[in-house]
Amino acid sequence: MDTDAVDYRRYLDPATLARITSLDLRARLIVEGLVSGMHRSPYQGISVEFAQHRQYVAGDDIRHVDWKVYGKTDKVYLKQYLQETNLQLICVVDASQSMGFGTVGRGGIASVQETSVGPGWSKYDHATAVATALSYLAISQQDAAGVAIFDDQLRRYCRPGNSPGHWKAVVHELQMQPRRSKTDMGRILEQLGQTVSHRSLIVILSDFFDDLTSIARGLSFLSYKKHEIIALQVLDPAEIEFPFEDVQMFQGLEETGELLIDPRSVRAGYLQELTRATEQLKRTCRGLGIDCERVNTSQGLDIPLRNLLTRRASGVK
Amino acid sequence: MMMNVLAISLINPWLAVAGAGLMALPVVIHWFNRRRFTVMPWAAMDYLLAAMHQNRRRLKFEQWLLLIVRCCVLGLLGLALARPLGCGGGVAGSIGQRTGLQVLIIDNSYSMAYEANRPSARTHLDQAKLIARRLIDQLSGQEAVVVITAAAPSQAIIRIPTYDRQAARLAIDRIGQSYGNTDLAGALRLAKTIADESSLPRRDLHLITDATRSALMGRQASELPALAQKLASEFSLVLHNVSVAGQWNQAVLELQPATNVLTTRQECDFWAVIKGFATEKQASAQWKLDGQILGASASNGDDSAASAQWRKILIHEPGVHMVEVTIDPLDPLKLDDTRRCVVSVDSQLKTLIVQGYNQGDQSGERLDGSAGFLQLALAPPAPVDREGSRRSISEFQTELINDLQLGNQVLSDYRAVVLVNVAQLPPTIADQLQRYVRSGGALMIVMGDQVQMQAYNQVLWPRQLMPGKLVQQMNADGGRPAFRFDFDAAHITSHFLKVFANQPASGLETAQIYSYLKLDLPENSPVERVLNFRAKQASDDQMTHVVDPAITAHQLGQGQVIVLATSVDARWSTLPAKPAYVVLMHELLKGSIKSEDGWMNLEAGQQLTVPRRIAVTAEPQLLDGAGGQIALTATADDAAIAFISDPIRQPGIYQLDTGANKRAIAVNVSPDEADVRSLDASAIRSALGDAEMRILGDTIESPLLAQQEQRDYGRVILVVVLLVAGLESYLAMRFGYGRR
Repeated sequence: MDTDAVDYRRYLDPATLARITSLDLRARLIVEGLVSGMHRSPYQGISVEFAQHRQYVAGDDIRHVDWKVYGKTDKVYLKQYLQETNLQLICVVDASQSMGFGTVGRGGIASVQETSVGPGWSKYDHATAVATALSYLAISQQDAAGVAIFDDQLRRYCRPGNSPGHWKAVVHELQMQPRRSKTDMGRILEQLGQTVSHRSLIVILSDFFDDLTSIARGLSFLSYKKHEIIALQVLDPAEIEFPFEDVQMFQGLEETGELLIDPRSVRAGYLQELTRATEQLKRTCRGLGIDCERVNTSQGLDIPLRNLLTRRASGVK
Repeated sequence: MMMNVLAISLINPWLAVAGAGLMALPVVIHWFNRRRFTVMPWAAMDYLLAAMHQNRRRLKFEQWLLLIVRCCVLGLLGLALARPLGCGGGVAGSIGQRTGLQVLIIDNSYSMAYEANRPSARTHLDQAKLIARRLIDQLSGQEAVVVITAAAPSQAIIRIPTYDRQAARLAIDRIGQSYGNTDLAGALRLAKTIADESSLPRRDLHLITDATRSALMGRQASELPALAQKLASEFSLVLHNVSVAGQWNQAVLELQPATNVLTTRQECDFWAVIKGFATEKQASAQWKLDGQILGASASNGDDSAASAQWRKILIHEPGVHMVEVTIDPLDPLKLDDTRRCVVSVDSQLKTLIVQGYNQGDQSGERLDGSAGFLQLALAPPAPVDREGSRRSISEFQTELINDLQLGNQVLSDYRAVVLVNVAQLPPTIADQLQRYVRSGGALMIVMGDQVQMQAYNQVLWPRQLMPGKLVQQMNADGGRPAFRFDFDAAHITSHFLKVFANQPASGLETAQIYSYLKLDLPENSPVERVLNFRAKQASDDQMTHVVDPAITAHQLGQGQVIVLATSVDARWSTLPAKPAYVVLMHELLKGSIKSEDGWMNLEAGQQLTVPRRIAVTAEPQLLDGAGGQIALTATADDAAIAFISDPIRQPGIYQLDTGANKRAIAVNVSPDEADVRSLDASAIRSALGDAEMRILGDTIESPLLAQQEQRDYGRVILVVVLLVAGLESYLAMRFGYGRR
């Protein structure tokens, strides 16, 4: 790994990204860092049509080796594909109040803020960063990318497009801040399913802190509409580990009341509840053929993106 | 110090109160923490609420349980530190530990060296150590020990109460035999001080001693009753009397020369005091001079009275000599059977006679008159012996000068200086004389017709070289009868006149004094009046006393000043014609010359102080009989002492090597310890102010456990505290509070 690569990968760290206020700049840095982290093996996007052969160089993914050519010529060549232009990516971002929670990059859990304003890194920041990066990646490969932002209703919807100027519109939509409102995800997903007519790749970025029955109903509807769906559950490390020691007054972000407790006494029960809910979500998704993955906002953004792209690539092949 | 709470005594009750107060601490912390919580906006509230609702009862139970356990830990900790005490009986007694302060006073004075020849202990001190060790063996781990020795000076060899029994045993083993007096009062005072500093409840004081008369009825007899009564209010007193029935001893209590200074010209009188205690055995005393046996004499040795023995010894060689007296009774206390005395013997006593310069004598070489009379009296011409040579038989070697020559003399070369009819002295010379007397010299001032009273009052009186001011010359002319001395041969009070006791024909009584200078002594002056003048009233034949002093003596520093208010020639009195004249001059001078032997004769435990006048040409060394060196420290500030040694604890003969010469140093045991007669129980009680105490005999069976015991439950409760604290930690971990 050369020095430039190191510098780019630095921008995949949420703590670093939190200091960059411009969302489009964040997306560019994420993608540059991601590509740089893939060494000298430029990924050819999510297209499926063959384009040309290229000689193998060290570091290339051997899954793309054309073994037939190797059998005939005794030389190692990789297959490269033409870019696909008819893929439609829609990033669905949850902008409810619970997504404003974040403890990363703010000196610990004691300085939580409800919005992404300031140097902190909330779940919404993380979700929008992933969404813009995916959109940027798609548009740069001539795919169409759109975005839907919701809380208790579908707030913004930007139809998929593939022009460079469209990406600006996507970024503009994603700059919306979370509102102080509850989410109703099932209804929103149904509404979205009715709005989007073409078969699309829908990436849902949310903490899924909602009624799981309702969520399942929404996901079922989208799946019924033949959309390909990826569910990314964005969680803050404090929500995953519950590392609190001192007595805290927990104030619910979505009108769920408040609770004064010694966190150590309920930690085990809380983690148990969280695990139960996550498992139930995964079970639901698995039943619908939906990829479901947990995204930790304290981890680099390359991890979910790489996993996503890798899964897509392997799925196409 | 103790407080009874529900029949339980607490050593530190305030700690129990503090513990009770601290029990509220967990509640306060809990309350405080709930008040100073931080607000945490939280997204996954549903899960938190669900967890809370599902575990609400369990959480409350856990929190209450932890709170109670924590309160108990603090409360019990306070109780443990408060050291609750209870009686030794019952089940509770079996888990508590006996507690208290045990003060052991072990008498290791010289009388404890008495050899009783027990099977397991040779001396009384050995037996005392056995008893002390036995006492320590019986202590519990909660009983602290203090060990004090009672030989002068008493000292606490374990000052801070220790629970380390092995350390206490070792300290007992290290106690050595002292050869000094008993300092029982000092030891009891130490015990009182230590008891005042201790908070331990039950206090036993074990006094292990031979209970001799010297210990209980000696110098400290007046202090002991009050001290013992004070201690009885704080301690349970037990006296272990290690003396055996029929203890007896014979000892040489004193040995010293009869005069201040010794010369080779005359036989020296020595006297020794030999006494037996609880025995009528005859003791044979053997005298030795420098190790050579001089002869033996018998002493009755009974305890009715001390037997004083006199012996005349003619020492031919000047220098330092040792006289020794030994008795051979084979008594059980050996070291006091021999007593040694180191004396320095001069060939003659160098005396400087200073005569007032006679203005009429233009040559200045006539030195007769008063000074001539005195010189003749002190050092008469030597007779021709059989071999035709002249050897002076006088103890004085005189040198006659006039006052103009006095400034050129080194006064420290002389044992005495006599000023005879000196008109006046310049201040510088007076200062020299003052230093000379202060450092131990003897000065005799004789009046005469040349004496200028005002000059004396202005120069000598402020320097304390005169006992008072000279106010006027008293004359017996004009038909008034001559003055007389108030000498009474039957009532001699001054040691200067001892030789005239019962000597009415000495001439002192009949000597006529025609003139004298009147001395005005201040009121309450410490000046000794050796003789006074008395005058005959014209109307009466009776001689009436005149208050005017004739011969005075007073101390100045280390030395002494003698003043004669009249002349020593025939001009002012008829004294020179009397037989007493020569003797009186000798006695006055010899009596005023200070003995320089005292520093060479010590008692065990004292320090050797080497005077500055001793010539030291190399680093001085003090060696004991075995060649062991005793440290000598130079003193920078002391005008009289050049070196001082560590306390010399072992009696015997030591040698001081000053480079210029070697001289013996005699160290004897204290005569106070010779009386080994033990007191009976009632006498002991009486000597100790009838303080409440138990008196035990010579047995190593200790009564320690027979006393009413109190048991300390502090340690047991502390163990419980540890267990509860462990339980708290386990519960906190178990309940999920231990992640911090």
